[in-house]
Amino acid sequence: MNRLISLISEKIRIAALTAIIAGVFILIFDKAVAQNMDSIHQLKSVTISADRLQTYNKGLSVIIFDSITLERYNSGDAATLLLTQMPVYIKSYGQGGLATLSIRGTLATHTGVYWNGVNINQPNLGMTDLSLVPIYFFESVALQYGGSSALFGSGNIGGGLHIENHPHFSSPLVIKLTAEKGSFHENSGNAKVSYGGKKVFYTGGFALKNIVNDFQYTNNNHQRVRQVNASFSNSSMLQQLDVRTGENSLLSAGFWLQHSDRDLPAAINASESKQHQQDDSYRTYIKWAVIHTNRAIIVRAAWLVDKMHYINPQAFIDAYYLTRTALLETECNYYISAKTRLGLAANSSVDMAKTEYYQGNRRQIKGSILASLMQILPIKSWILTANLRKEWIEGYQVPLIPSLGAEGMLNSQLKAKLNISRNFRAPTLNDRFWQPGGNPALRPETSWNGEAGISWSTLNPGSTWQADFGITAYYSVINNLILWTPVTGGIWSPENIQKIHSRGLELNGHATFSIGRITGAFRAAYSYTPSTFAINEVGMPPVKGNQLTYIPLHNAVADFRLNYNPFFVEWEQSLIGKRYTLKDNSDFVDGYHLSNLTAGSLITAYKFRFRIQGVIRNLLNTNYQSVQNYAVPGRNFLITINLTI
Amino acid sequence: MKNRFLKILVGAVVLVSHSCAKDATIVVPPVVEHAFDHGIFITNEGQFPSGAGAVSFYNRTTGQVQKDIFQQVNGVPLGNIVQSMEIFDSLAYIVVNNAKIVEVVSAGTFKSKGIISGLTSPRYFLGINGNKAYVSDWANNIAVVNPATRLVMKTIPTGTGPEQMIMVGTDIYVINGGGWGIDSTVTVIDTRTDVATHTIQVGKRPTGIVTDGIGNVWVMCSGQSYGGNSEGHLMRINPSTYIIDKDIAFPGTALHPERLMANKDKTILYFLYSGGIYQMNIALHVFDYSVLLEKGNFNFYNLGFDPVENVILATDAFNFQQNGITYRINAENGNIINSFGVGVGPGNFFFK
Repeated sequence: MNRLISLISEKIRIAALTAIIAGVFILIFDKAVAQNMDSIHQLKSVTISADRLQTYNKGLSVIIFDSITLERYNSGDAATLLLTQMPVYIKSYGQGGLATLSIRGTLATHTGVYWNGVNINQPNLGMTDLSLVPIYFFESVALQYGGSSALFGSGNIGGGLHIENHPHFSSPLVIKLTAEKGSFHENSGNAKVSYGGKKVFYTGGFALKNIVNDFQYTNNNHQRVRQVNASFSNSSMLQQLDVRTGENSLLSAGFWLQHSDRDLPAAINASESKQHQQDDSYRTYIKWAVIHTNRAIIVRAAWLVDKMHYINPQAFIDAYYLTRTALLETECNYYISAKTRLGLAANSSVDMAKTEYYQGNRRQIKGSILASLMQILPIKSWILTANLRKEWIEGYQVPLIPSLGAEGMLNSQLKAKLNISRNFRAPTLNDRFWQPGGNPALRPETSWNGEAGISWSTLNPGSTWQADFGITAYYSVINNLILWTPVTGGIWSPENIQKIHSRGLELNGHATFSIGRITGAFRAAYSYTPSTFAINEVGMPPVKGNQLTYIPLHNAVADFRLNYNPFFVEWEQSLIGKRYTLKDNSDFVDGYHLSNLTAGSLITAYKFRFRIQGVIRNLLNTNYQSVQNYAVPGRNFLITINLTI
Repeated sequence: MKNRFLKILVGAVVLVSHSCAKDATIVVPPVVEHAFDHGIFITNEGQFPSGAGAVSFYNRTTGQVQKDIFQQVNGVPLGNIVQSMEIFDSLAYIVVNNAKIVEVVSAGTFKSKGIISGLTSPRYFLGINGNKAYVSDWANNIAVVNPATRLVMKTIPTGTGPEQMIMVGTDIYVINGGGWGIDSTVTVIDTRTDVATHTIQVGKRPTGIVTDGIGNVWVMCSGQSYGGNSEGHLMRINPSTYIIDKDIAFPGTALHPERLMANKDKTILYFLYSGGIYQMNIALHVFDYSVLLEKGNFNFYNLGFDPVENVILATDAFNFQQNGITYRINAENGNIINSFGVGVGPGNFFFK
């Protein structure tokens, strides 16, 4: 047995070394060849994840938020953005509280969150709290639907959220200042600077946010009471530097510092919480890209630190959690011909954790290799992509992870896409090491995902209106789902005991028009998400066929925007169906609809761009709950002033 | 084309909005006198940290179960983590742990009478006399409550995580289960003075306490189940000397005996062990235990003994993510008589 373990860990070491050696080797090789190459290729702003997402991931839906929307959510977080803009489910404990993302009826651990291609999911939890992902700094936020573990590794079963910044060389100095004031003593502000010289691009920013969150709500006894112990404050700093180190090479580095302090309110039917949580994250990466006409090589290293301090004086708990991840990745892209592109990548990482609940320091080493192919077919510009990933994780066997995708035009207006993939999620450090109960003998969760979609768009360039419409159907089976169940003596332990059938339908439509000086945009999206347990667990009541808890069957959003320079007005509407709170589907939280109304003005004068906007959130004063018995505010307000120089 | 496209979208939105709508009318039936005079009350914790707890009622005559009698009578749900219930002086005291209160209702009608607040993490209630009741609280004390005013008058310090209390003469014995930590003591309080008079060292993690037919106190010490496992002990305390005069050790540190119940005559003790229900006849002075009902696929959470019908009650809380089940079990042969569905996390009983 020991021999076996040492053999496996040897394998992982080899995998880890592969990435390093490959990186060094390729770069030496590249330098040697590059001297003889006539490289006239203009250096492009390449980001690894964007490259992977766009080049080798055909057949999946990727929604990229436009800059107007991102500007609207300037000092908001990713949870608020997705909640109102996308028909994905955000399980949120209220403003500033824990918010997790569920795509296509999967769990929060089935979505990867990537910062410029680096997976920032915490290795102890396998997920990211989206309330701690600020929007102001990022110029691109993309939501990828459907599994893509072959390209992005563990945890990308339901989809992924990609937040990015790209270098813009030779761009003027831009300074952006934002101040906000909202209900319940909300104050926030942020500043962002960017400048692109011929060889250097810099962008940096910081943000502060503070809210007392002392709103009134109706409790179970129909009394109006004020929320207590719900305040939070947040600060973040982001820095990114891109330097052209040569004709064809680019050196990039990024740094993201995040601190949050929050009081955790009690549920409506509990009382008097004194819980408090502090989260600190330090994230750094450095990337070197060499790009030629026929190939591109990217080497990247990242160092991610997450600290959490949880205090519950009533339960005498004062706990620290520290996780650190070191990552090294090499990626080579070969443009074999104008129609064929081949990618090879090696990735190695080590997760380290320290908490009293693990009884000592724990670590987990991972290594993987990936081959990708993109082929443009001769028929109607159909594009075919294929990926194959082999991953080694200390203590686990991960099967081969392939994916196959295709997309192309059926006629001038109809586009079709297809994707089939195998995906996986490795057990988290908590699953493996938590004391008591942690189970080192867990297997990874694996899934098969398939989807097909068709989209239609208008073909009237220059016309006063444009529209597009898309429909996607998907089916996936997640095997070996890890759930914590009670074993004897009040101890709970995780086991690979469930299986999920997730299938559904997604509709989305978008239209823009202009009538005289008025321009407008309408966007609507709907998800039908039956996601059910596929097997009955031993010793438990039958759940087969039941909808998963906190996955609404229906979820829709709509957004209507009108612009009459310099004024604009926007109506956002979201509808979230009922969500079961129990696995036997005997209890649920009611569905609700929520409206936001925004109005503002955008004035450009000389070099200044001045924007003022007011938002009425929860316009209809809907009494709703996102998580059962957690209070949320009624109608409330937010005023934003933004100056761009 | 555009219009048709918009119509489809608007249609989809309206369709969903209709499926979300629901009636929010609360129907409160008229109060029925003596509705709950005879039967079994089962407290259901509710899903932590925000699900509503409930008290279920089993009618022995009809075999019918009402899942949530508090909500049914009062039109509002109980708070989160309904830990236990006790009837004292025609009032039922429902301890709602995470809401940090004790709900006081009329025992016969379950109509709400008020609450006891000022508690931190209440666990069990025990009426002492017309002027005094004790509430064990994970603030590591016993709150002394005046049942008339429903106010906490004072607190008596205990060990860590005090749980069930039993009355022996003028003393109460409270087991210190360890709460969020670990403890291995029983605190004895003189109810005449409200002073802790003795702290008896027992085995680690006491989880049950009963008296036997001749007034001895039995304490189930489950043993530490993680972070340095230790074996379980069943201990007998002589109430006149406060000294342990019998100590039955369970073999090994892997299995932990939990909970403790006695039959009506207090001659047989029942407890959970190895996932099943075990029994020990203490009247024979052999102190040998044997299995009554094997674990099988059960996940037993707690035990009760119905003195009216001489039947063992056992709850299965599953994984607290669905409604639980209560089994009625023949105390002679361990056969399941019947079972009925209750709320989430069924934990404790009160027999009336």
